[in-house]
Amino acid sequence: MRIGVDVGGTSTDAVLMAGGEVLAGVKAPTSPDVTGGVVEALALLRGVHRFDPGAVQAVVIGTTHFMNAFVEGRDLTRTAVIRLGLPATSGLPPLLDWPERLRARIDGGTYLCHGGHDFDGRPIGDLDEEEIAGVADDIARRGTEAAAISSVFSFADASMERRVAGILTSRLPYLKVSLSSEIGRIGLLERENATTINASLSGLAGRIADALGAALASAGLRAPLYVTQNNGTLMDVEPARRYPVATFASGPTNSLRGAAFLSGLTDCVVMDVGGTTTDVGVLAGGFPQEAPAEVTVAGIPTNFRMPRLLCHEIGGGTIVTPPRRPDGEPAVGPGNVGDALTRRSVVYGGPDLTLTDLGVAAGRLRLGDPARLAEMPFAAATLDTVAARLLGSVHRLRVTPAMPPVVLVGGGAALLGDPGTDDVRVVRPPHHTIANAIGAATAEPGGEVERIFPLAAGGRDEVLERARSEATTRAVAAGAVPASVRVVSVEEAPIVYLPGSATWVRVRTLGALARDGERA
Amino acid sequence: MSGGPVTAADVDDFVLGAKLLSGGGASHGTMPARWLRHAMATRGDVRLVPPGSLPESAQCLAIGFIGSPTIQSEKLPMVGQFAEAVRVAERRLGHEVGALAALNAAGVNALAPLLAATELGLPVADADGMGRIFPNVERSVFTLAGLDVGPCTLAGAQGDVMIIEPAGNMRAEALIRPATVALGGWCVAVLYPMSAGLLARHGIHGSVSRVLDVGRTLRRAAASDEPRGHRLAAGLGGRLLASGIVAEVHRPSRRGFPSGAVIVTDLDDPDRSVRLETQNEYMLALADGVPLAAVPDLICTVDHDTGEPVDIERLHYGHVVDVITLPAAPAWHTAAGLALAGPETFGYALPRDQGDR
Repeated sequence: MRIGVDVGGTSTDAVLMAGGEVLAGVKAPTSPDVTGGVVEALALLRGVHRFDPGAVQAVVIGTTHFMNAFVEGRDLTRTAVIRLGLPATSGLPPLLDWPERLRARIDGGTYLCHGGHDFDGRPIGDLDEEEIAGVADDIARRGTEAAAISSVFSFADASMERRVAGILTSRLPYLKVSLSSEIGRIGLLERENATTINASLSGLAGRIADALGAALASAGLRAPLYVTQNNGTLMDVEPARRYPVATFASGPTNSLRGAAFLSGLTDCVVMDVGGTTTDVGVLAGGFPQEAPAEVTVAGIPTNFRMPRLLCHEIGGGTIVTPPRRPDGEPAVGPGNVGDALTRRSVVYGGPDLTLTDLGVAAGRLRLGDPARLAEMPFAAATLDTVAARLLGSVHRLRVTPAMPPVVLVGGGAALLGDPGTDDVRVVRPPHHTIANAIGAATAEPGGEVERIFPLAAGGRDEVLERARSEATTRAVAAGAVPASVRVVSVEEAPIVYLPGSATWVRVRTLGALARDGERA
Repeated sequence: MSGGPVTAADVDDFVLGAKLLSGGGASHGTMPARWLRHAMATRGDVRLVPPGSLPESAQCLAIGFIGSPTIQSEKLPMVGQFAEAVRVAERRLGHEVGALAALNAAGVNALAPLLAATELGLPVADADGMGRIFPNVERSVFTLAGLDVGPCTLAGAQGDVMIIEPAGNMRAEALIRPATVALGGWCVAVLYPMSAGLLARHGIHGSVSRVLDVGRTLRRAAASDEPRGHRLAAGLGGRLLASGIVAEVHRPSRRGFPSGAVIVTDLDDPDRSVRLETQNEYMLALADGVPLAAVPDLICTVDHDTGEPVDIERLHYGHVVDVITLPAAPAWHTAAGLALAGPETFGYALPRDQGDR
């Protein structure tokens, strides 16, 4: 058995699964400390489906908490940003384009130092150990607790980043160090930003991992804890402590994967109707289609890969203004009660009429107290109009000339009724309200490596082999049984305007978790 | 516009226009735009002047980047990289430089003269040598005019500078590419030293301000909710070839030969499909085997829904795009122009009259 948990902004969903079967699913309110909501969801789960905690083999948690904490500038660790690249790279200094508010929160100084490599592995210059010792002195003087180290082309040669980490931690053993070579991907500014965000979350990640471990223990669960990554695979909580950004944005991916699992479809459009927004994404060949452009977080460019999503500012908490005249039409939005749905909606005794209230009035949802609602003959028609509008956006995401089927998931999916037409098949599978948690529960450990490599004699085969082996090592570090790891995709593209010189490659691996007794 | 300053407030539009004019070629992230914004914020605006307004004998240089934008996004530029290149070129030429022109005002290269101007405090002459992107430096209207590409001054991101004096313009590419690899995969290039008089006579006029105009047109079109395909094409002085769904993307082979193809199925007529041949950029558009547009004319793809230019690398199966063609500068449609940069020079044997469209 496995337990999947999704910690969303509003609710914490949990699901108990055995093999491919959903045994039980529950929703609890998310607590500010994350753990409280998880504990409550686990207790609810045991309430609706009695199970032996000892028989649970894995608990997989997906959370947007780190993303939210960073964007809000909460609980960030002060971070020194160290770049190895001089004399190159001085034209664009570290933390360029960061909002002043976040820059001030992480402020541990920026250090441009000598070092780095060219795309073909030649060093740009030697590492200057005295220079690094000076950085260490400065970090000690300022009392900075974390460091983000980024070296030019470090994903091809990580030796300089590692040496700097060694020098710093030998002098400052408490320092939490993040290396850009572990974050990966070409594009120094974006990788440096991601590494800096990661370092600034290192304190919080440790505290949350400890608290979650304690919460599971208190619930009698001895199963290993895993966290879902942005790419839909999972990783052991131990590496996740050091690399929280890898788990930063897994929510949408989990929802897409959960929808695929529930519907059995590998090529479809997924519409996740939440409390504040409706996110529409695409699955092609079972994988979420990725956003073509870089992802910005709080205005900061990063190199995270995220699913391509269309976000509509409409959800169960969207406020509805009733018509003035009985034959008029109500206004939907633009306001939203946000995470206060269970306090502000009319069916919960609150003052705001929301789409959720209309759903109850139309008989599509059963929650709260329907007796509080006034007569609303327009409810079903209004919801159908919203559904038609959302469905109309689907054509923008289609990946085949034919219209793909649409899978409705999320807590608000039932609001839309059955909006299928002759042109568009719409399915709303069982357990659709907890698709995110199901996406987490069904995740497998994986690894991913991206490289640029020179096409010198023997270069390609050697680098491909190295990329395969590193992606395999990463899957094992994430928790996979070594023998189970397989390469699921190898992508290659020549680097334009440098004919015959270099190629980009990305290798992805997937494995299986150890069953009881197999774990080394 | 012409003769005015380019300011930090223009950067977004300028980058948008440069992206469209790359003809599907330059896939780069937001680094160049961030670089230009940072350079303008720290060193001020750039003066754009008509080439005819410069003193006839003023020394001008064509400036661009050579190499991989992807590598440039990793081995970031050095402060003063342009100034270094121009100083070395000045020493070799024995003249002070009076103004900077664009090698090609399209793609990331459109940003190069503006960045150089922030470092050097020189005006940018509103002219370039291609009016689009070509993958080789000799394919320029300057070559058509008999001007020498050399001495070529190349500056890498860590302070190395090389001067290359090719025996002729057709020798330049073979010498510059390996030098670019040695310099780390990309470099600042200062080419085609010439007087302002020659630049005014032979350069493609208004091509730097055109980048800004194209960007503004795109932004306005993107902000409107009306269907934009035809109107956008007309607003840009071009033609809409198709609005359709990307049905196939054939990437270049892994061994480095750059040719590929994209097939777009017409939204209104699923039996009609347009095939776009690519070699770094779009080279040729065919419908049912009949050429619709061909290099040296520009072929671009724009997201049908958002109006954003989409480059070939980012194009994917299922993308709904408008395919637009923009006419090349008249010099490219002469017999000499077609002999230097027509479809045949890229390996496409087309009927003779194709270039006259």
